Amino acid sequence: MRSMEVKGQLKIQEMAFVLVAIVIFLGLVALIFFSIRLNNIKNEAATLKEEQAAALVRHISGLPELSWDCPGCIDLDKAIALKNSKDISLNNFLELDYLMIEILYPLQKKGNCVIGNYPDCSQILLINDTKDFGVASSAFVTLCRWQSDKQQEVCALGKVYAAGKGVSR
Amino acid sequence: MINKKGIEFSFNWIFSIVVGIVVIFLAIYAANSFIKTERTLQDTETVQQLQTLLNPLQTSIESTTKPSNIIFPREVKLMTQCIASTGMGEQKITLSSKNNIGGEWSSVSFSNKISSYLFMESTVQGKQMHVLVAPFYMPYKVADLVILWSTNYCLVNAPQNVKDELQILNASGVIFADSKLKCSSNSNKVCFLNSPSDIDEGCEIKVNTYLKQVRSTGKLVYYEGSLLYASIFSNADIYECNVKRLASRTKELANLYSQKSILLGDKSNCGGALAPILNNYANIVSIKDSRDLSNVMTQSNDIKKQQEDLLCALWK
Repeated sequence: MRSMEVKGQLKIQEMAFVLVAIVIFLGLVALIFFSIRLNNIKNEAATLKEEQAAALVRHISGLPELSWDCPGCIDLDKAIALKNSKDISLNNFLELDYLMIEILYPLQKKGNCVIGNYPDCSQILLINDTKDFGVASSAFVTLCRWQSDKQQEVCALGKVYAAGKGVSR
Repeated sequence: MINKKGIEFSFNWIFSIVVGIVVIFLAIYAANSFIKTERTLQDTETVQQLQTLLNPLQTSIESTTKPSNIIFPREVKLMTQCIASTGMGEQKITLSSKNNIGGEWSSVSFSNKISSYLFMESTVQGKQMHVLVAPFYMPYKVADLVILWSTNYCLVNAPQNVKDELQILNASGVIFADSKLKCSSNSNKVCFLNSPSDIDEGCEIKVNTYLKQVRSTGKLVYYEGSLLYASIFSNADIYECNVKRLASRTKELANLYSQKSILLGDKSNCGGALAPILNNYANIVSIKDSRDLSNVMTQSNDIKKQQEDLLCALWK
């Protein structure tokens, strides 16, 4: 009778250990699986974010508020008029914290563009809502304007920088 | 005395059953949560891809890469809600995807400020959707209209310019016929009335090209330019809401071009004369509904003529 009780207790302990071992094993498998999955999700999120950012910067150059009549071209005259305007805000349809257009070539005098120094300047800051916008996504664009002294259209190489909810969304 | 007919139900069994139930319950719960997370993840991915796909459609850059179809990995339901009251307005889009097991619908929604003017029925369902992107001018480019539908449309007696435009815009899911009898039974019949004597019985959508009206499900809307396609494929309420939003954008652009006109006038003595005309245009462009479109278009055509006389074009 006594030996049967001991045998029974051993069986119970054995089963309990096996069950604990199975649970720990399953837990480890789940942990490994989820860490791999999480890593994949992070990679997918980063890829989508990049795609979104690139699409947004391309999209900005196509907005009627900024576009010139060639693909990927920005109208600098419109951009400076937009910067000067108090009534019109690009943030009506872009959720951005930062948007800047930079003229790269031909080289211009360094400095922020305002009506007074335009077009002898290199940067048009259109949106600057916060200092903590992180790293801005950028894309090369063609910047065109009407050159008054030569009475013709001129184009330059430039870059658009954008950051904010609209980019990281 | 030992009862030999009884079942031995020792502690071993009780313990195994209780722990087994707990383990199975936890496994089912974990699997369920995992499936839900996976579905939300896939839906979010689909939404992101849809957004990425719709955003470039707005630009002039991808004019040659406009897709005529969007194919989803599984059957989806797209629903939209248009809000015109605030500023430039916005459209909320909800994407639901069908679960292969049990057929349940899950949903993820997003606000569509970027690819802003989406014209469709209030709900569009299917694995494949047809897309049409048409630029809208008044007289400058205001936006690209993104039109979505999933069922086939049969255009009866469509004028040649409509056929040509739809071909240029790479429209799919559209069949042209000279009689509604030639349309398939499962297609939406769109009848074009090109003269007052044309008969339109048996058509779901009636387009009156001489009055620029479209009647669908008892509601009458008016169109100008590429809004014709939006009025055919879209729900009347969504159409009217988007028309108001387009009018707000037209007004904002009029103000911008007015400022550009002043800037060019100051810097190069070019274009300044158009500023007061554009300011006036900005004031009249606010519309109550699509009925007012023809009046705005008349003004728009006048401005177009005046800008053509300028040495430096404000827009092209």
